[in-house]
Amino acid sequence: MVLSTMSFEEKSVWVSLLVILLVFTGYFSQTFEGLAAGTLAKSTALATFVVAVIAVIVLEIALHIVIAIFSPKDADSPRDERDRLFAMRAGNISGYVLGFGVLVVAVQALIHDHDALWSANFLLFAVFVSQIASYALQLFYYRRGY
Amino acid sequence: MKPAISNNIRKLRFANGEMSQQALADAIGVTRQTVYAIEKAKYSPSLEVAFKIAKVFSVTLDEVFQYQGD
Repeated sequence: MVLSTMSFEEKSVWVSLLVILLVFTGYFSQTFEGLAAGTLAKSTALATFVVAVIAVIVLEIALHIVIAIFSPKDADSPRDERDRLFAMRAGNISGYVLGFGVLVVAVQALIHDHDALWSANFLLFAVFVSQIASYALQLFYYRRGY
Repeated sequence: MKPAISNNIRKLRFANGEMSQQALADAIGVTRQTVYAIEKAKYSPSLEVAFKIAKVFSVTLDEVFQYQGD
């Protein structure tokens, strides 16, 4: 069974990927809609962001408890060299994704007359995309191997 | 690119009192899933872990791992 070949760390990456996809897809669809319509207030954006961060923390804790209950022995095993290697490789590539995203937002902000709210949300979006890339790459390495 | 290293870990485990993947993992300080990945040649361990595996079975490194490349 595939689940038995998954370390706790791999399951944890799956959880983190699903949680940020779920929460921040909602956050960005709402925020970008407001930005496009020009109706997004700074206070609303901040409140939505805080709610999203709290939701991520709560869901991460709850789902990690669930995977630990289903595989208590694996949950006790610390991260090993394979986990660290895959995280480092994924982090290396996702760092480029983040750098590219920040560059695009910076150039856009310099060319156009965007306000801080616009730039802040697109920077957050760059962080979101690079994090998705990091998790997805780690899962790819776990499944493919080496 | 798939690593060009094969291994005899499965055979060595069975020759050593049918040692489980978990027991080997605990002995060398990795997860059971990493032992599984090494056995399936889906992960090439660090030199340190490779030596630890050889030590557990009291054999030399080349009795555990074989390089299949050019």
